[in-house]
Amino acid sequence: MGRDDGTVLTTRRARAVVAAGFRALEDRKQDVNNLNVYPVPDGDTGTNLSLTVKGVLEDLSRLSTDATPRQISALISEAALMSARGNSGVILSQMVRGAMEVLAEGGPLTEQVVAAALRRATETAYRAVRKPVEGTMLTVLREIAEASEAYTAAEDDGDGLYAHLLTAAWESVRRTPTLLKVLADAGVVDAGGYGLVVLLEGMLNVGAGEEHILTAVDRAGLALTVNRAAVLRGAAEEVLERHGGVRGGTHAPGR
Amino acid sequence: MPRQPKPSAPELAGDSLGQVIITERAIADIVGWTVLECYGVVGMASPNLARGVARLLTRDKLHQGIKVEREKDRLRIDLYIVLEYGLNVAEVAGNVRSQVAYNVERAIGQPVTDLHIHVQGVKVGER
Repeated sequence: MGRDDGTVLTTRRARAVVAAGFRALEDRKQDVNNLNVYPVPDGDTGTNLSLTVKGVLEDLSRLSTDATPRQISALISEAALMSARGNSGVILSQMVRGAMEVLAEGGPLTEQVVAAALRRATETAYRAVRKPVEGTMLTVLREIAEASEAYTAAEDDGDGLYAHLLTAAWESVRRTPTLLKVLADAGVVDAGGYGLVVLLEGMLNVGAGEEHILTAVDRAGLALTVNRAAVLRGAAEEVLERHGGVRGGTHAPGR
Repeated sequence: MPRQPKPSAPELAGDSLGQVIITERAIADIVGWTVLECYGVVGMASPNLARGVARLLTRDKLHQGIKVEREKDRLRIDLYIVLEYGLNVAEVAGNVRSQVAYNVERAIGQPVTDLHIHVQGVKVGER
């Protein structure tokens, strides 16, 4: 519980993690775009999420390498706010702001801290909408946060938090059509939720030799889970293939 | 003998059974519900600022923050909204625009030709 190998928030670490998330999003940008039927089927969710994260990465590249966790968090929050694009980008910027409030406090990035950051991210993101619509990226983040809290509260160590939350994340994405009818009608999972988990998965798969946020134990657990996650992601991608031409389909504005 | 077979249903005028009329108030209701689901929107406000302060309208009065004007093929909508503090205001307003335009056109089958978003205030959400 609460493994601590001295992993703290540094500029280098933040850059490596955000860069890895950005690469993952760029790779799957078109998939995310294709899934986009809600709230407006304009096929730009992947592009919007990618542009939002790109803005954060660009600002991080200009930040001093000896910035404090508070400075790093403030910069990331501000960058996400300013570069937010589209509905998904604006929601992501609120999630980032919430998470950064917790990481600004500094100290080791323990599982408890990460779970608390996800909880705050969820609360902050839900606060900015009067009638939250479930089956969207809001739901996916909330379920990731809940799974993380349940995991850190339990006494057994399992495969590590990150492996656990990624599994929960893909499961949540797969459930989105059961919560939002327009997704079921189009035969897709939610684009924003899918994009969020692609980003998260990318952030956790930082390249070898780069500073990452995972301990050795986390990495081993994650390696075990990658297969499980791939199965769940496969289910989402099967849907993608069957509905390659979601745009301009039955959900285009009626005339 | 009539040259045309008798229609099976009574006719009112031409080949029509009458008109379907969607009132401006109905359009305003569609807009109101759409706006409340838009991310970053706290609520609707009255077009007139009371002493310069934007007052949030209660749910049964949402239509007071929405002006709908129709003339021939033109459909103009003015929205008076209050946004959550700490968001990218320009981007949220743009999202509201596209969501309203899409939902109205899908619901009534007529495109919105002019859509103006008036951000009347920014509030720190309390819940």
